[in-house]
Amino acid sequence: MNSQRLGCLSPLALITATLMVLFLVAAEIISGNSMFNPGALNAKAGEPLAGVTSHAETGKDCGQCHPPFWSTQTMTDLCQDCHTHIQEEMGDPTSLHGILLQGKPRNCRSCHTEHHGPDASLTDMSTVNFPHDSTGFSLAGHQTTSGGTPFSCSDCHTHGYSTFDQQICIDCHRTNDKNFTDTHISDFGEGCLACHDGVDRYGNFDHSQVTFALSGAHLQVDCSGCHINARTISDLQNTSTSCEGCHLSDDAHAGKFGTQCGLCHTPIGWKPATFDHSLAAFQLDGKHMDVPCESCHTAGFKGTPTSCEGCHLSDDAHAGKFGTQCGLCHTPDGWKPATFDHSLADFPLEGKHMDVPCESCHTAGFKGTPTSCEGCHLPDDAHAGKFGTQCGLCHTPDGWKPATFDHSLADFPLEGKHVDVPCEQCHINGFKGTPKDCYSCHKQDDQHNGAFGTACEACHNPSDWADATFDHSLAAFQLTGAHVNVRCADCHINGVFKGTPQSCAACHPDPAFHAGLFAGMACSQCHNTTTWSNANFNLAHPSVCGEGGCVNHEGATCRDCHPSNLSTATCLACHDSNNPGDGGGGDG
Amino acid sequence: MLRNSKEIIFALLACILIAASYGAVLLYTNQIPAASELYGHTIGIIGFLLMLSTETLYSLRKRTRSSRWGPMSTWLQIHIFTGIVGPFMVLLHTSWKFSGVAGVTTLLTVVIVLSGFIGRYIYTRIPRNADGIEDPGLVGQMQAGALANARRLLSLWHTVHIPIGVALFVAAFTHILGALYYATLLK
Repeated sequence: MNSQRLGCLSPLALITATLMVLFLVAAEIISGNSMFNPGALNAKAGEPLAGVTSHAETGKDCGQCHPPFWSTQTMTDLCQDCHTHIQEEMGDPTSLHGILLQGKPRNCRSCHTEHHGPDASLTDMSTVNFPHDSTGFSLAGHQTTSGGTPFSCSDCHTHGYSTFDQQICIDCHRTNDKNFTDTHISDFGEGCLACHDGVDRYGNFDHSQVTFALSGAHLQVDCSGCHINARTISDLQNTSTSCEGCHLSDDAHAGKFGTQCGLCHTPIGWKPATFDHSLAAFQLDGKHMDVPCESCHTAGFKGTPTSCEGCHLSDDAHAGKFGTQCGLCHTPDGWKPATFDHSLADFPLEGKHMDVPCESCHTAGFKGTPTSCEGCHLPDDAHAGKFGTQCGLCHTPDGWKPATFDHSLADFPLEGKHVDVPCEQCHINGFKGTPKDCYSCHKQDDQHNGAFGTACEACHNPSDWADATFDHSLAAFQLTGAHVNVRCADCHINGVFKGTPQSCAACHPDPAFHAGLFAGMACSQCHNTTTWSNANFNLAHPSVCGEGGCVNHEGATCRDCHPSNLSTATCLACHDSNNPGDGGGGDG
Repeated sequence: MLRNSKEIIFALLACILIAASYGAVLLYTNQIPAASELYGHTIGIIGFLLMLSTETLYSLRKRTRSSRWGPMSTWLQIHIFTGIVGPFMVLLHTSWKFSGVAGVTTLLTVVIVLSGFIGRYIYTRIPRNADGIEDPGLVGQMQAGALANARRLLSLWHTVHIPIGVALFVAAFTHILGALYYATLLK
């Protein structure tokens, strides 16, 4: 049985229900929609959007944010109706909202909340896994504080998570390292986020990540040494990577050598400096390799003369006399030894000319140097100019001596001993006009004291004085017999020809054999010029008479009977005592 | 007493379990579970349904007078169980904010629960059998004054308790409708 009404349908209950409905309707009318409000809206004033500066200013119009359940709009749609810039961000994958919502449905309520009071944060999202990188600042370098404790959001975001004051960076880092921070701010300004993205502290920045790897002395330089007044990453990146970008004021060459420092210098230091001069138009050889660059490059590199005189004009030991083509004689190995292929010149060098210092001949430069002998050898002329200037007629470059002259070409061909005579002996006063007659040269040689005149050639020939010939038949004393073979001097004592006595006794003294028996007689009474021994005694010989009477001694020679001298005689040479009449006979 | 109060024991155990889950969510999210989020919304809906059943099922059973639906005492135990657990869940659903119509609803919920405890105390002053029907023998042993007093109090309590419940559900439905209108799944 169910006769009893339900309690809720009792009059009192129905009245209560009605009153409650009336109460709620009244409350709704009086308070607007406040009775459905789960909490006060955020009242922080922001940028004006859709006529309000905060959610609280929307009043009690819940429909501003809450669409009825039959509406096709969502709360996110209504958010974006006012927050149009956030809507735009959502479509930009590089923006915060674009990154946060990448691949996720657009739902503002995922992170944002409301009705937590006028001062409550509108953002309520997990900060543990918040992709802070998407804000442009990674927390990679801010995992723990200097005290070693994990960072909390409020350590940096002291006035809400959506804002950040870079003074926080400065204050905190100044606490940790005041000197560095102050210097760093002085160098790079206070816009920390302009350069720092939180990924790297840059304290040990790997400069090799960029196009300008640091090495050598560059490693020792402060960042601000190159990145002067850099205030942004762009400033850092736009720092010149060329040498002159930083080193213009360091240029010890005062700009003379251009701006390509790297051609000679390395980051190790300004010194040692090297340059591969083989790359230049002027190859370095020999002593050029040891010369300081500035010696030649006095006014920079470009336009440095490559000619010898471009640098060596002041070094010219020849004082410009030999022109400017130094390379004709000299090499980069040094001024000495100097060489010149004189065969290329009009005057090929031979003999002793090859050993002569250039300056000896080229006293006034190369051009116009005389090629004649006297051009150089005039002061050397041992002949004092007497022999003229055609030295080559006698001399060769092999030396003054031996000197040769084809005397056969002259009017006085040399023969005999003349060939060996030094030229000067005859050419006392030069060649021209040298007398050709014998006496001009041989006057002092005249053994005849002028007795025979000056026509020496009448008796002598060039072979030898001694080999003289004289036609004695032309003289008053004819030479016959043995006189023909007698040396002239035997008769012509002391070279005196004139007055030579023609008598025999003048030359032939009376021999002891004659025993003075023929004094005053001419030799020719008995002798002829053939020989002394065939004397023909034709004088009356005293009779030889003995015991045997006088006999005829025809056929016997003088010495057969006079073996010692004519004053004595003996018979026993032919006769003995036993045969007094039969001598041996003789021929004299 | 303990036997007669086992529904309260169960209700307390259920509340402890729910509180534990609430604490787990609180620790996990590190914030008070919001009424609009999954956990807070869920316990709000379940708590409301338990409160709704608290209000309706026992009242309907009382009026059937048929043993086919089980003994009245069991329904009363269920009524008491859901009447404690449901409001407790609703209380957790509030996320401890009591403004607006939701706050009124919470206030009325607290009031109806307290009223329920008072009512049960008065109810137990009148001896009943296992089915909750007054035991004529035991009632007869009571002093007439005390019995009349108890009955009067029970009647008075009924008079107050039911309108409070009606007001509660009016407020609750208004809150639910508002939420449905403005923030259905907070789309």
